Amino acid sequence: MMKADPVILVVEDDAAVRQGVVDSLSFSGYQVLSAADGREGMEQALRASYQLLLLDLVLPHHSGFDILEALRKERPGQPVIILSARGEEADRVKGLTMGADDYVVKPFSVRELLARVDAVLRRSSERIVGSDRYPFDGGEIDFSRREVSLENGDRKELSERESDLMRYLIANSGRAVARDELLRQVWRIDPKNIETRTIDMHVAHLREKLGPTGANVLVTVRGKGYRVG
Amino acid sequence: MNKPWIIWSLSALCAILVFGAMGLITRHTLGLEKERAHAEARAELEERIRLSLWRMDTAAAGILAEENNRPAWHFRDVDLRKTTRLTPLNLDVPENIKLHFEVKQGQVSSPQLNGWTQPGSQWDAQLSPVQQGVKLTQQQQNNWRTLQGLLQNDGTFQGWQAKRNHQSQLTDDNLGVISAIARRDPAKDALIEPAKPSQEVVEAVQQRKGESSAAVRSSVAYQNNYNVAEKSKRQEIVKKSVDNRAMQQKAWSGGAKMKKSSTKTAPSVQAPAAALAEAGDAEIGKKLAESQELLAGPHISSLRPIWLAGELLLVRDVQDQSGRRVQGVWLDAEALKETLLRNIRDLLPNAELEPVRKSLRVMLGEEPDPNEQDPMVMAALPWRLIPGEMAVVEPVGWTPMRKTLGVAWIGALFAALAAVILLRGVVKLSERRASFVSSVTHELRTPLTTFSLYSDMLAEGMVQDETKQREYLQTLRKESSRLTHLVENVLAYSRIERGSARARVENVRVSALIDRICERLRQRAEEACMELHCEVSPEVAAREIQVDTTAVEQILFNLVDNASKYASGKDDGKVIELRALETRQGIAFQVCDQGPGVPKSEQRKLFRAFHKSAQEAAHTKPGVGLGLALCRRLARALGGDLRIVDQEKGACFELRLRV
Repeated sequence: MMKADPVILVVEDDAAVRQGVVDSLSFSGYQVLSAADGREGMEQALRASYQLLLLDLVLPHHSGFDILEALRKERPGQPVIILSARGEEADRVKGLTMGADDYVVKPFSVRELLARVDAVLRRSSERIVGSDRYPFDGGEIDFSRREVSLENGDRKELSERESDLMRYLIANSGRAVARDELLRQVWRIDPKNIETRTIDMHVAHLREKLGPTGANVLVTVRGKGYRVG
Repeated sequence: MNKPWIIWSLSALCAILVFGAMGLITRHTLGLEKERAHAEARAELEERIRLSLWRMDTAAAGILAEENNRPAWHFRDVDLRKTTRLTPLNLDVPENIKLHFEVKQGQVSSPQLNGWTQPGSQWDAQLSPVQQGVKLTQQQQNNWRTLQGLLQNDGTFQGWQAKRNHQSQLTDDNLGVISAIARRDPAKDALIEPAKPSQEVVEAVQQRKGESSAAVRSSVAYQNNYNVAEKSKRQEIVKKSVDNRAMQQKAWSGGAKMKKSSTKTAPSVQAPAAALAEAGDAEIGKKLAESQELLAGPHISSLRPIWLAGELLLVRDVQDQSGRRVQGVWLDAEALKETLLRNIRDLLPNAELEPVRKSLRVMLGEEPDPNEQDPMVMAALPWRLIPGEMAVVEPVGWTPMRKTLGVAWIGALFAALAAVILLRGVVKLSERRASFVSSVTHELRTPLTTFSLYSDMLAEGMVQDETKQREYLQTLRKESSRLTHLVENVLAYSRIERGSARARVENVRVSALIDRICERLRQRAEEACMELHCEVSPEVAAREIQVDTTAVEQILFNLVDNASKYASGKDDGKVIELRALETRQGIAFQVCDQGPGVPKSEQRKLFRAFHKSAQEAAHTKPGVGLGLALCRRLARALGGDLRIVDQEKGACFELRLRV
């Protein structure tokens, strides 16, 4: 199964800059969404399905920090690059501590922008990979071989989607991951108007392969989603 | 140091230090003022005390002199029934005196008795009506009995038996003592021999005569020395008043010829007389010989005041052909004290006199007088002055010193207030400038990003579509003019701030000026999809004005730029009107739009430099809040003004120029 091109959302109030960023990303093969002010940017950032957000800080209606704050609550782990004319150290530190993955100060060249976008996307996919082995109570998962080894000697093979799903949940262990987030980050599809039954099916298969302790390893959090650890 | 709280903290610290120092100075100065007032009050009190002592001593010296002048025979008791030759003392008792008396061979008599012995005798009945007038009153009779008891009191002065005069026939101690005191060597008497003032006292007095400082005059040591010096002067004067022995002797020698029985003083005077005679100075020798004759008369000592059992007596020793005896005056101490105090009521209303009772050893000259150096003791009579006043005067009201301090405090407070206002202004300006720098940076970085992105993409061949390429180039051109406009404004404002803006004034017709700048303004309006309408009446168009056209162009461009930015919304009219009108002073250009207008609350802030932060710019339109501030300054530099004109819809700005 071929993965779709990553979707990038650009939130920038200056029309000329926005146009330049959108065109250069499109030329480099990304799918691009754009928003011209804080209000539209907030709406798209919270609803749209995208892999990376390019965010200007100084915006009408809502500032970039407001959008970052909302994203941290709604979509933790969402990769974000801040594009800002405010290059002071305090602004950069604030942006990074609020969950941004990178901070690009204007003016920037096309090459620099594309390099940073590529780096952040790569890191976010690696964040899912994590370690090759994951031991759990009752066995171990070997992601390099996409295989589960149980203590009783049984071995179960994992599908690519199951493996990615387990990786993502392990990368975000300790918190309940919503089904919409899993659809966006693992399945790379917009959760709008899509039944999440497919996720539940995959989770059920995974638990079965994890053996008798599977339900304890992959926990359902009512009303929230799924959690590992 | 760009943190306002640090600036304010340091300022507060400085203010605390300054006001603390001011407080210390004030406290010290007020303390000095109080001290000075106290010192002055002390000096004033001392002056009053000295004056009071002078007055009292003068009055007392008068009494002493008068009593000293009485010849010895005035003290004889004369029987009214047997003689008509009466002395003044037979006829009356002077004021402040209870009785005069004489003690001879143990017998006490009084010239005021006039032969009276005791109540109930036939003495009263034998007096003529005239003689009845001079007889003793009941009070004087009582006084007499008291005096007798006083002078014949046994057992009080047992230790003084040895001091009795061998010739005295008195059988009681008091009389022996009195006799001894009356005959005492005058050289040992502090009342007669004045205390010599010390060198410091002399210097202090001389200094006072000169221009000594108030501090020296106010010092306690100076006052004490000065009082001692004054006391010695009083003693000298009292001595001169009462020491009238020569006069008495002269009075004596004027009567019957006396046999020279005493030549105690002769050798001391004869020696120089003989020496002078031998030297050939016959005239002076003759005069000295006459004086010797006078001095070789009867011996009468000066009256000396003593306290005896609470009563004040004046006593003297008399020795003549009638024999040796003690004569005295019994003073009415209470009445005399009242008289003396009445004389000084104006100076010391609460003053009192306290008796100075010397011990017998002191009175007999065997011990130094403890009151010798006490400047409060009278020179004439043994009384000490108790001033009854406190030298405490608190400065009240607005003294010159307090006024000066008040002015200093007001000045310091105003200075502090001015510093606070100035500092607040500076801090605010600093904050606005920091905000301005941030805004300018933001405004510069954004078009630079566009330049960077577009030029990269065009250079890398990432834009193949020609239409897109043209669009990019148009955007680049627009951004370039935006940058130019921003930089122009910042530089122009900076020039005006430095005062280095040079007006290039030229004569130009209004029509020519409008034609010159209208195209650029129209182009700017079109960028915002708006139209610029220029309305100039023929009369105004023909007017010639003297003006810096570059400045006018910059002002009008800013106004049109603002209209293009703020009045280009969907619901706004798409027309910007540029009008040229005639006013009383000259010409006015109006730039009006049909946009949302300027809220009243914003109108005051609008012309303030750097009033717009990057965040505000983001919420409204790009810009740094410098355009209108610059325009107003430029307009005023041209001798005109820029103001906002009220209108129903949209904003309207008017540039007024004087012709």
